[in-house]
Amino acid sequence: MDAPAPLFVVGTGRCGSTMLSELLREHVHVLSISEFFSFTTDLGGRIAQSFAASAIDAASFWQIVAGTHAKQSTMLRHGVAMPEMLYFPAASGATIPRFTAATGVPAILQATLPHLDPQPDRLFAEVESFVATLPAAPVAEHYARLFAWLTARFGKRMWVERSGGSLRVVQRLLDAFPDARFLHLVRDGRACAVSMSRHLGFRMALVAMQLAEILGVDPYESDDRTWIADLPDELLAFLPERFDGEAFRRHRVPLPLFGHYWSGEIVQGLRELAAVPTDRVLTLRYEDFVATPHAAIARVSEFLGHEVVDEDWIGRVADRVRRSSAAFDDLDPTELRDLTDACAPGFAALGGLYPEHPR
Amino acid sequence: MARDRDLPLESTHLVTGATGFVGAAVVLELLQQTSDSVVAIVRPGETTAEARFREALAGAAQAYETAIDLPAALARCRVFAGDVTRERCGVAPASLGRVTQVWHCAASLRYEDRYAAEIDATNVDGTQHVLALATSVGAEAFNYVSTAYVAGRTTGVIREQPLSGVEPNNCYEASKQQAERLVHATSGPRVRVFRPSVVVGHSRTLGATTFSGFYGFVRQLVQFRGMIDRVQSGLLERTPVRLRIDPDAPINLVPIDTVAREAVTIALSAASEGVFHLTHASPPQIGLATRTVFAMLGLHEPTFVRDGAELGWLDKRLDDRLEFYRSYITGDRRFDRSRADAALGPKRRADAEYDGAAIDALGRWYLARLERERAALPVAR
Repeated sequence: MDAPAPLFVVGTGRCGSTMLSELLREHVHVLSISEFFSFTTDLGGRIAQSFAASAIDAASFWQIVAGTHAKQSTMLRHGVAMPEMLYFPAASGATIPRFTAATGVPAILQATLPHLDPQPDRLFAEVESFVATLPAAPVAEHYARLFAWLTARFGKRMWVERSGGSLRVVQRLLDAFPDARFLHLVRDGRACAVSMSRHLGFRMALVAMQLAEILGVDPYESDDRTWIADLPDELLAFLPERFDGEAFRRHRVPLPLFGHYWSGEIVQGLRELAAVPTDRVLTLRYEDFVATPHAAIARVSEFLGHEVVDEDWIGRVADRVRRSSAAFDDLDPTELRDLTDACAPGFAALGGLYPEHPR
Repeated sequence: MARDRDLPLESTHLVTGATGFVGAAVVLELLQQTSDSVVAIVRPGETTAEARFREALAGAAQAYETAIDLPAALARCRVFAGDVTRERCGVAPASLGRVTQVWHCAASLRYEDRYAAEIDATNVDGTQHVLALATSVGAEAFNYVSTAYVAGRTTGVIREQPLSGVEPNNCYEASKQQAERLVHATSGPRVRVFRPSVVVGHSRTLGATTFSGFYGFVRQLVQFRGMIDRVQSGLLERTPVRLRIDPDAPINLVPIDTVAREAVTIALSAASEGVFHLTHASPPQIGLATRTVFAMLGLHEPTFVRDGAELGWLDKRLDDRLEFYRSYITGDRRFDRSRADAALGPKRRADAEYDGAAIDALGRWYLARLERERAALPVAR
C-alpha cells in the first residue's frame, strides 16, 4: 500500500496543535512527529539553514537534525526551557544521560524523539547511524528519508509533522514537499496571544527577534555588538553572554505584539496555503475541537486518508481534549482594545471562521 | 591659508577624539589648511592608538575624498596612547612638547541613563582632565567641541553665549552643559566653544564615519521596521504611524566638512573666542525631513501629532525608540550664528540646501551601508 502524502499540522503559536500531536500519537498507523522544525530551526532563527537550497551531505544534515542550538541551550542552562522540551535525565533511559544542560541537547532530542520513545538516547543513536548512511541530497530528500525511516521503525504507515508556529514555514514545507497536505488549526488570536505571552518559547522567539533587528545580527549566532547602545535596557539581560533567567521569567512581551504576530502569521500563512489545492488543506477551529471533539477528530481521521483507518482512535482519544486556559476577557480594557486591534487583520483574513469577531 | 599675524608660523595642535567623526575631520582640516603639527591623544582599542589614528584619518580622507598627501600629512602627526577619563589624559605633559592649541573633540554620544557614569566620565571628567592638560602644556587656546543641543528644552532663538538655567533632555545634554561650564570657568588659555548641530555626511560625497544623530534616527526606524515586519509583514507600509514631532520646526543638519572648516578657520583667527554655532543658516523643516526618511524606507507617510495621548500602541513603541531624538524633532530652535559669521567674515561659505532630495540622498547613503551590515540577519520565513 502506498503511503499517504506527507501531512503537516500548521498554525500560529499556541493554537492548540500540541494537543493534536498528542492525539495523533495514539493512532495505530500514524507516526506523530512533534516539534521537529521548532527545534531544528532554533525557534525560527535558523530557517534558511534548515531548508538549505543546495544538496548537503550526511554530516551537514546531521548538523541540522542534531545540532545543539544557541537559544535552546541558553534557555536550558538558565532553567527556562520550553515545556515542550521533553529530554530530561530521568526520561533519557540512562542512569547518566548522554546530554545535559551543560553540553546542550541536540535539536531532535529536545522533543521529537522523547515524544516517540521513552528511551530517546537509544533512538537517537539509531537515527545517527541511519543518517550517516544517507548520500548527498537536497535537504527535502533527507527529511523525507528520515521521516520514512522513523515511520517504518515504529511500524506505522504514515507520518504527520507538527511544530508550534509552523504557519511561518508553510512555503518552505511546500517547496520541500510539493505534494504535502496541511491541517491548519486556527484559534481566536486573542487567546493565542495571551497563551504565547506566557509561553517561554514564544517569548524567547520575540525577544530574539527584537535583539536581532536592533543589533543587525542574530546575537545568538554572532558576537558583533556594534549597536549594543541601541538596545533598550529591558532587552540587555537577554543577550546570550549576560542572559538572566529570572529576568526572562519576569519579562513581559506586550500582548499587542503577539496580536500583531498572530495577524501577520494568519495573513501570510493563508496566502501561502491558498496555493495548495483545496482538497489538500483542512482548516479546523480549536474552539470546535473543544466544543465537539468527536466531530472534529472525525474530520481529522477522514483527512488522514482511507489508507490509515483506525476505527477506535476517535473513541480512545476524544476525552483527552481539554480547553486550555488563555482567557482574555479579564484583561485591562485598554490592553484588550489594543490586542483586539492588533488581531483585526487576522480575523479579517479568516473571514467567516470568526464572524462574531472584530475586523 | 593665511593665518593671523600674531599666531606662530608653525603651531602644534593637541587633539582628543581624533578617531571620531568631528575629531578626524578637524585633524584633516588642520593638516590641509596649515603646515602645523598635530599631537593626537588616542585611546587604544583592539589595535594600538597609532593604528586607530591612522585608520580613522585614512577612513575620513576616503569618505570625504580629501585631496591630501596622507603619508606626508601623517608625518606631521604624533600619536600618544591616552584616555581623557584619566588625570591629564594619562600622558606626561612634558612628553608632548610645545602645544599651541588644544582641540577637545572626544565625547561619549550615548544618552541612556544606564551609561550615565560613562557619559559623565568622558564628557565631564574628561573635559576637566583635558583642561588641566592644556594648562600644563601652556596652550594658548582651548577649542571645545560641544553641541548646539546643549540648548536642552529651550526653544526660540538660541544665542551664542554661555548657558544659563537651561534644562537638559537627557544625561548626554546635561554632561555637555556641565562641560561647557567647566570650559568657560577655566582661567588658562583662550576658550572657544564650538556648537555644531546635527552633523551629517560630507556635503559633496555624503560620506560619514560614525553614525549618531540623523543616522541614529534612520537606524532606529530601520530597526523598528524590521521588528514589525517580522511580526506582521508590510504593516508599516500599509498603516501610518503617529509621530510626536513639530513638523514646522527646523531640523538643523550641518555637513561635517562645514563644521571642520568653520571650526578650524575660526580657531586660526587668533582674536576669536567665546561660543560659536556651527549650524545651518536655513535648515529644513522636521516634517519634510521625517516624511522624506519614511518614504526612503518604504514606510507609510506618518501622521504628526503633538500630544502623546494621541498615540496608539504601535505609535508608542516607536515613540519610545525615538526618545533620544526628542530634542531634534520637537521644539522650535533657531540657532543664531552671528558670532560665527562675524568670525568667519568673507571666508563664510553659503550652505547647500537640505531639501527633500538632499535628505533622501543622505539617508540612502547610510541605508546602503546599513543594509550591508545587516545582510546576515536570519530570514523571517
